[in-house]
Amino acid sequence: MIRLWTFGVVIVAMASGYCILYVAPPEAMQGYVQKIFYIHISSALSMYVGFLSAGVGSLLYLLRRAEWADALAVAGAEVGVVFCTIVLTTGPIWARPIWGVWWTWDPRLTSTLFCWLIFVSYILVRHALENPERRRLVSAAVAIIGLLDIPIIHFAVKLWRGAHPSVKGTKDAMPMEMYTTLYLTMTAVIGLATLLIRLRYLIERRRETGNFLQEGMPYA
Amino acid sequence: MWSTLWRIESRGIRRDVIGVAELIGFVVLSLLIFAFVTRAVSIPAPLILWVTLLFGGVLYLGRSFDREWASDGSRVLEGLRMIPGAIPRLFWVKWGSNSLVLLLVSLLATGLLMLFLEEPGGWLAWSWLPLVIGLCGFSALGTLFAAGVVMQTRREYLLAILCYPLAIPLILAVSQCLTNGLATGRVDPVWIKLTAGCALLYITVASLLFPYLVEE
Repeated sequence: MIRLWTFGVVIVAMASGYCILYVAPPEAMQGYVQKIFYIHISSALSMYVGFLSAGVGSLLYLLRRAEWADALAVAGAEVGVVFCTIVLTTGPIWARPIWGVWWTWDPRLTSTLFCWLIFVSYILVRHALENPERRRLVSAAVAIIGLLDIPIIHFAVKLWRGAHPSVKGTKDAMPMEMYTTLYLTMTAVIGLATLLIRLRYLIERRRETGNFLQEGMPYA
Repeated sequence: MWSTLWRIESRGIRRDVIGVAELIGFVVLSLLIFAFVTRAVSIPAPLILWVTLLFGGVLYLGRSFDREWASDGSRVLEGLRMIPGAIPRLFWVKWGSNSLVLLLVSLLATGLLMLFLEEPGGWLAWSWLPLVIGLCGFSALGTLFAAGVVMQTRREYLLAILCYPLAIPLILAVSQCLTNGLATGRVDPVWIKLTAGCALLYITVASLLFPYLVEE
């Protein structure tokens, strides 16, 4: 299943790479730098997938004390942080030529940074607490409160009326090629995120059981 | 049961006067440093107070459960675990006592701040509301995670790592409330709502999660 998923992700990623480079036209005002938008938006959605997995896994762990739920939470948090880092890196690279600054305290940027800090603290706590049970409980509490921060990120633009561009409601603003490229890149990046969550989950489960040599574990 | 828990807590605070004294010492020293700094750079007094209480608050909140987990006092928590419904109530008592201590220290710090900076204190009329709500919200997060990191070797920095990122929306809302208040002379209605919303969220979530962290 994982091999098939990996194969699918590679094919879609290659197609999206081709579309970004050759199919999607450069934006009239922003030029070629706008192409970073496809990776930026897709990574932001993947970040939500990761943090949502972390929050749901943590909630299930607290309610059922199931170790698999904790493994899902840690996998989601780590993958979420990776994609959040990509968002926070590609954002300034895109913003510098357009807004003239690397960073601005725009509500959505700020909220994304908050979310990144919360889940980085989640990872730090997991490494700092020695007692496994206490580590799972405290990190679950962090992830649940972190999950509650995600709606603040999502609605930050509407709440605080920032200057961040929004794709929603501007359907005619982009040509069809751009939409096709965007949806293809989203599929590839979200597919990659779910694959990484699955692999990290399996590694965590093996770490808990101490069985790294079990048959059927791909790439172990 | 409420009165029993409160008696245990107030007796604990009386025994651990050193913890409160440490908080007061830290706040006084921080305000002195700010008093020196503000001779070179102008920083509004309410913001100095808020930042000092945040830093001092983490140090104090980190000791919240020392009495229950200490080698001679561990029976207190074991006993409470055996009483149905005692642990959820313990959160409210701890949160109440922590918030009360922080608010009392903030009163002292306000007096000292006005003394050190030679401030007339006109901002007190409106700034007390965001400060009180902010401290109550921050105290809820601190109480929750103090229970999580108690008896850990690196708890001092762990609590700061946990509390500050999660409390950033609250910290930002209170700071913005105070900054806007300095310009207009009244509490900003939008930011005070956000402050209250964040504080309410933290208090609710912390009270719900607390039993899971303690009843292991």
